[in-house]
Amino acid sequence: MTLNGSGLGLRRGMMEEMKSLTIKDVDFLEVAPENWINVGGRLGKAFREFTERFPFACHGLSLSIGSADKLDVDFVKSVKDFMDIHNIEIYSEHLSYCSHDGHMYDLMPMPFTEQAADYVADRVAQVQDILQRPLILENVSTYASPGQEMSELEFVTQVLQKADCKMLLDVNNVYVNSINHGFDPKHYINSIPTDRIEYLHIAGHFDESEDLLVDTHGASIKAQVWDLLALTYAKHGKLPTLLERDFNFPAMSELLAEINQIKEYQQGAQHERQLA
Amino acid sequence: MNANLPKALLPFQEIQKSFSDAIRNPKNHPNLDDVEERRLKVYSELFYNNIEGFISGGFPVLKELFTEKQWNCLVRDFFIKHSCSSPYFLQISEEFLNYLPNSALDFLPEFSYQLAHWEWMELHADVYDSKLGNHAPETLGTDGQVLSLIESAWCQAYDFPVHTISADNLPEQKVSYLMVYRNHDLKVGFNELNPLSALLFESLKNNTNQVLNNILQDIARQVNMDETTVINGGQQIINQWFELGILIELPMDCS
Repeated sequence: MTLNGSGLGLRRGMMEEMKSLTIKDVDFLEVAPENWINVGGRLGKAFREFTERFPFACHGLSLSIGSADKLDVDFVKSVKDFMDIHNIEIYSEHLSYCSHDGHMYDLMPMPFTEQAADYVADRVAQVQDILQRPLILENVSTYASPGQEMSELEFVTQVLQKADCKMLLDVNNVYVNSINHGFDPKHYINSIPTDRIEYLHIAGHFDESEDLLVDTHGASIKAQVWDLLALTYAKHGKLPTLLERDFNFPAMSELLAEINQIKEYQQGAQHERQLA
Repeated sequence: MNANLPKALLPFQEIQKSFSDAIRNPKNHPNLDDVEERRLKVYSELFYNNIEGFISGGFPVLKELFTEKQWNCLVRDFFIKHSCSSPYFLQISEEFLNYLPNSALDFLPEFSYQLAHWEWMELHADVYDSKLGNHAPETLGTDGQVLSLIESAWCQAYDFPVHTISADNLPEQKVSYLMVYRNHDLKVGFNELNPLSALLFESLKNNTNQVLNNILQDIARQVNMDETTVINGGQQIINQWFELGILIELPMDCS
């Protein structure tokens, strides 16, 4: 199964409102398996009602692919079981690490070195072996670049090549990092090989200061990010795209307006390609 | 050193160590040459607020007992000293619970762990993933009926009446049997049990083939009490538990 159209992240805080959604509103949903594995009771029941009605993608949080901590094989097996039970084929994770001598439950910036790229590529192969599915890696937003020996773009493309894996291109993260680290976001997006991109993420962010943006997923999508999304479609084609919203939940109508905006951009991109 | 880490770190992993140390303990960390202090601060605040949010959400009563400064000191101490092994966000509370008995902070009251355990039970009951079929009885008292308790019901003896604790009501030591459950309608609740109903809870929970009368007769023998009194009292408790929706009916033994 591959993804199509536009999707929305399923969050506990929005579940009640999301119950009224149908496949006409959103083409697919996405969840963090870490929040649903071994969860029963009312939450587990509500979740099953969603997986029976929508195609799903998994977007993990705790794999910690770049961590020095040993790969948690039992955890990866649990993710596989979860995906088997709910009939989910797509699994993406962050090109990052969230643990060092234990879990820290948020994402840290990889040192962009060749050795780190090799290390990640090895671990991707291990994960794919267990999952029996491809692992898709996402570019993350960062606020610092400790130990940087190459650009983020170089690091990301090296990892994709060495691991021979697909990418989840987060357009908002490209924009956030372009401000935080001073690079050209258009050049970044244009430089990712089209055939490596599996799907896209888009979200809002918070302006901490002029040169420091924080990827909060707690606001509506900014105009510059919409422009980059249009650019991405123009360069790479009409890719499935998921809207992330993690807190400050607005009315569902507001999120659906953003979803519809994504659909319009996708249709525009398709139209242009047909004309070309 | 954690068994999860390699014996010798690669150069990029040394950087990861310094960076993660600085996030865990922003007041006392080695200098990171290529990271601006305000950028590091974004990380340390994001991480701390995330962890603090999970812990204050899981332990609201415990939090209420401390000043803000003490509370932040406790959460920070957990973040620095406890190595979390669970990849699951809902288990951050459990990690905190595992840390508490090892905490050396001198302002923690002696009932802290038991109170935290009690608060954690509510979350545990809500999300517990039942593995067994739980067949609810339609009525009570049918011939040869074998009853047990729903998988998602637990009874715990605490050294303090932890369910009564608040900032205005600190407890005296007193053994308290507390039952937490998630019933057939997936609703979570709790009950205080007396020693006799706690015994009945244990017997019923482990029951595989005994009818209720036999169980109550056994209990009467154990506690050396009048059988009729125990049977009458026990049946009342069973009626209550039936109303709560926490009884299950086992298939009858046909052997």
